[in-house]
Amino acid sequence: MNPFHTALETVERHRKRLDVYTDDAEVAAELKRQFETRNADVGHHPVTGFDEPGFVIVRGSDDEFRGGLGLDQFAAVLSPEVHPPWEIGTSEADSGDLFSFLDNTLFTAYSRRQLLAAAREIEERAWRAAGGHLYTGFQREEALSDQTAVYERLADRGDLETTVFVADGWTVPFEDVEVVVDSDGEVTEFWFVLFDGGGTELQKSGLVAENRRADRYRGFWTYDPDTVDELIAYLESAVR
Amino acid sequence: MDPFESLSALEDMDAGLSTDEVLRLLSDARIRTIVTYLYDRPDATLEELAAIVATVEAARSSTIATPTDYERATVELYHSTLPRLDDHEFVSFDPDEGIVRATDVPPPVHALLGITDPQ
Repeated sequence: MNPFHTALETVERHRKRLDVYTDDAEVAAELKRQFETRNADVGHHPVTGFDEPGFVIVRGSDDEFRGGLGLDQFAAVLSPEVHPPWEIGTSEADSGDLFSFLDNTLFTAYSRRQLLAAAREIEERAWRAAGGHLYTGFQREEALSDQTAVYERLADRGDLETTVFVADGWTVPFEDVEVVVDSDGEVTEFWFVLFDGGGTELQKSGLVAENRRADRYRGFWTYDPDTVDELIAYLESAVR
Repeated sequence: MDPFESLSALEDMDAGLSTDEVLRLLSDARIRTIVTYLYDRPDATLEELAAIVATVEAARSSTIATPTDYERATVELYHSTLPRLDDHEFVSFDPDEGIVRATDVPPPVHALLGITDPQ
């Protein structure tokens, strides 16, 4: 099984449950909305009599207690660029693991339009960095031809390198973009966009999706550097 | 009910408990957390209460409760906090099944903890 399949399975297995204890129904509804497309189920448990704004208990897919914190701390975790999780005190250095589900966001029923928006977010990071290496794989030949202009522009941007993976037999229109033919069809069964961060861990990002049925995609996007590194290493060693 | 009214209600109640005993119980933060939680959900489990106790403590100190904190709370609740609440007939605790049921928490205790029904 290639790492694209494995990564997708790992993200699915790490689905978590957030039990939100608060008497503020609006806060609970907001968290439900926010996690609808992320890899977590949210349950609201109204409580009275606690002074605090409320608290959240994180449980694993096995229902085991994985962590618990106040809603104000949780809000800080949700804006990692302001307060990275590792700056929030804990007696064990495992908060990275606790919140890894926030880095790997699973989606099961995205439309092509929603996915394009997510892919664009990663491509824009690469554009702003004007360096590093962007790897993109297309599942359908028409998808590739739709993106030609975008990828030509990305390839011209500063020191940014772009590599596009295509299935055997496709008509490849690119001149400036490096094209790798995935002759075994190992990775072109996925639609993926991976950016190596251009030397900045925080910019590492990736999206991996499978087209399951008409205009419905299943997959994940991630800001987890290890996941991004692993997928890129596979592309570099096994596919290229 | 303000705290002083609650206190005098505590003095007046006939629950077989002295005011001193009740106040001693309530000086334990874990007991306050459990009594507050059971107000909404009178039927709970040891695991559920340990998760709540560990999380409320973390929330108060702006930290994250870890699985180790949760395990510690489980042990402490099992051996000390819940038997104590059971002795004072606030809850019935079945240690074999890990089931906790709020039984006879005197209403002035809730008032003293500042629990009022949301209107």
